[in-house]
Amino acid sequence: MATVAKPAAPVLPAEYDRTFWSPITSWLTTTDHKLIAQMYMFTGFMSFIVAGIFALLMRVQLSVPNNTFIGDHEIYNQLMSAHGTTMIFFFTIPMMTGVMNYFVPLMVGARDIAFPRVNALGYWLIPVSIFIYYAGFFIPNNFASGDPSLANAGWTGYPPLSDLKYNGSVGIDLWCVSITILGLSSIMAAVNFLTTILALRAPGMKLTRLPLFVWASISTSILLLIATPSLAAGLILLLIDREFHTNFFTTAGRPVLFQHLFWFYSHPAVYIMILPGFGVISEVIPVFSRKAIFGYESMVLALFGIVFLSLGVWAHHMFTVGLNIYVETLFMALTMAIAVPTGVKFFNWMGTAWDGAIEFKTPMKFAFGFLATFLIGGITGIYLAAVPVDTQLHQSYYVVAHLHYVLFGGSVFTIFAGLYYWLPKVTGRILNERLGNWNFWTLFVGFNGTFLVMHTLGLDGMPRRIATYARQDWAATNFVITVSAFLIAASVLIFVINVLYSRKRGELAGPDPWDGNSLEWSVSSPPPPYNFERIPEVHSREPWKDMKLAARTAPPATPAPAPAH
Amino acid sequence: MRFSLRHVILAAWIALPAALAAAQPVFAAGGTSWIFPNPVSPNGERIYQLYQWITIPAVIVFLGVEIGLLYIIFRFRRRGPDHVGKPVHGNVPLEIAWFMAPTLIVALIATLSFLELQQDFQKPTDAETQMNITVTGTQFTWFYDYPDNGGLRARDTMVVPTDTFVRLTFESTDVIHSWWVPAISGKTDAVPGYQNFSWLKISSSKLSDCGGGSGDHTQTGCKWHGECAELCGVGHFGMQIDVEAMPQSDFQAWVAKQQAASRQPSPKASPSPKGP
Repeated sequence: MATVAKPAAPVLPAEYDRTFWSPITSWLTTTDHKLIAQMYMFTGFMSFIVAGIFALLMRVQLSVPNNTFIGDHEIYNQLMSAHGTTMIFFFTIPMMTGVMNYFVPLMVGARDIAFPRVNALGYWLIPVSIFIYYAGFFIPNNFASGDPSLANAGWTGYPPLSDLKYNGSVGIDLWCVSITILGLSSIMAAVNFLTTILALRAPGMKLTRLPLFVWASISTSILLLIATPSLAAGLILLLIDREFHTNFFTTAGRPVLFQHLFWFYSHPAVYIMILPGFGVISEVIPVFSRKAIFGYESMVLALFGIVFLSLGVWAHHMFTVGLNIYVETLFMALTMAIAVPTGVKFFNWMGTAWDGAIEFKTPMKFAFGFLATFLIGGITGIYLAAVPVDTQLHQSYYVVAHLHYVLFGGSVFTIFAGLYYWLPKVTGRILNERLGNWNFWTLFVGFNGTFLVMHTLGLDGMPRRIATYARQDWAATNFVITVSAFLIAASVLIFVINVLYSRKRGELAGPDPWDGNSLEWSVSSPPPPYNFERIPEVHSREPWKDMKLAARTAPPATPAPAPAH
Repeated sequence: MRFSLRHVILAAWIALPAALAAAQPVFAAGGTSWIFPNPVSPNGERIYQLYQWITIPAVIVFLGVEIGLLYIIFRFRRRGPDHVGKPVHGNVPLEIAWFMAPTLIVALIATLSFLELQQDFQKPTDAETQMNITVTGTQFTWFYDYPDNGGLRARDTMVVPTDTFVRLTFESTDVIHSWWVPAISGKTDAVPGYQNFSWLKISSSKLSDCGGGSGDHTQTGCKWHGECAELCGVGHFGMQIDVEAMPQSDFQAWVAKQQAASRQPSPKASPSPKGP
């Protein structure tokens, strides 16, 4: 019994159908948060593929010592910069924004996001930003003839390397403009989410009843609002340095000031990329454990603990620039303190699954894959926070391994968990479990094969961002990493096949394929453009579960929800 | 039991670390280890000790949590459509416990790190300094100035006498570079506009086996290797670093030879103490 009977075939609401499949103009002009969210996710995923191809090219170059696959090191630097920039700004942030855009209104019981036109503008700034960044690819470089002019100073773009004097590439200017525009888009999204959550909740949806994914969206939005202006300030000042020959960050100015401004955004950005993922995990684990979330209040407190602390840790990226040791100690202590709320969340997730009735459907597999790998990123984070040890590990492949455990383990695994969990709501069809299984295991093995062994290279002294190396004793490890990287690529290919296959031939999802608890499962899959025919009334943290129970205990006379208008 | 994909992968997942562990001698023979290259300077040794201290709680937490996850995975499977989880919503004492435990662990690690910071990461005083070297990063090479040895300037290889406390001063003439020899100590950035400091002291006892194999033998001593660690442009990967340590007498001979060489051709060829 237990599960609610599914409808034989999900009927696409006529209004939705017309909107969804009508000509391309409806995509260009839509203000529906669900369509905008799908465009966010599509853009993000395409960026993921492009940046992944860059990563593979770099891995081929590094697979053996003294390789000449990318003989022009200027090209290598451009690829490496584009990989980082694209993965962070054009993949993870739009992807997370897309997921939040789709599900925040549904989960709080709203008909759309608070400012639909701002939402549309916020999305359309992203292709603009991507176009500006990649315009450099089509502009010949004026100092290394024949090469394209993508930004070449790493995704961090530290001056003076990015100053005009040492870098005539127009790619740096494009990078400044592009990322500033992307920051504007992020701020629009953040304002929209906060307003939606604060103003458009269904009756009875008190803040204390919000799903944890919505709480994660609140904390992410707060971080975006506080941190993004600092990035914009840094980039605009750098641009002024380059265009109008001022001396903010040049050798005559304060190059390290840029690092402060940059990391004041870019460290919280790590949490901007991870907190929505934490939210996804907090939804997936209870549903597939058939158990309520463990320690809801401490989960929310931990989110805000992370928000607060993450704004005070930026200088841990700068432990080798020569800060005062007492300043370093402060940043070290705050950085390590982040382990505490993160640990609370981690143990609460374990507590949720403990004594549960776990079904390892694909989303749950990715959730546990996240727990198993993110833990390693957290532990290596403690090593890196300890200043003396960091001076050894900083800017080495150990850091590359750490950041991928945090961002790949933390964001990509949670994104896959979220997509397997929620795409049935978006498309109306469940992704294939068998392909999902292959997708998970190839990703898990490929990911660990790539990044676990990478720690040893850093410990042995291999700096990051080098275009090639001469040491023969790094060869075997690098070759293992390259092979594993291709396993990750194969896994992503399986996911693409799964999505394409399931779109047409996947099992019909019905409104509630996972026997979920929150409001998004109470509407059809895909939901109608107006989301809720009647705005539901909420009485607990698991409103849809309540409604299902009520329907089962009193089948003939279901209490009518409050009318919508 | 049906032989499924899951069993293959699980077996592979257990076999992989075992295989890596078994292959450890192969990697180690080439010098790649799970730990640092053997440190040869006291500050590097203390960083390494701190690393080992952190590793103790790290391994305990890692094993504890991963075993816990595996236990959950195998123990709490759904047994049927009617099976639901225990109606537990939280446990405040437990939540306080796993708030306190990480707090205590990181407080301990932070304290140890702070002590090491105070000991080895202050600017060395003039009193303890026995010799000065100014390290200048320039795209894409390193210059080493010896103000205590008649303004001698060396390039590519930094030569130091053993048993001598050498204060290193870092400067840059263009972009930010980072000087890193893992066997000696952590890295220090060379930033245009101001100076950074570090130090090294290589004991003569390290020369017999070059710090347990972390360095290579040279004619008179040992050589340790490193690379620039901060992206500094198209030639970044080529900014290699060599530090050669030799006994004081050999060092004096090297200094005399260098000075003679720089005097011989013409005064103009003698490199200026400042960058080009």
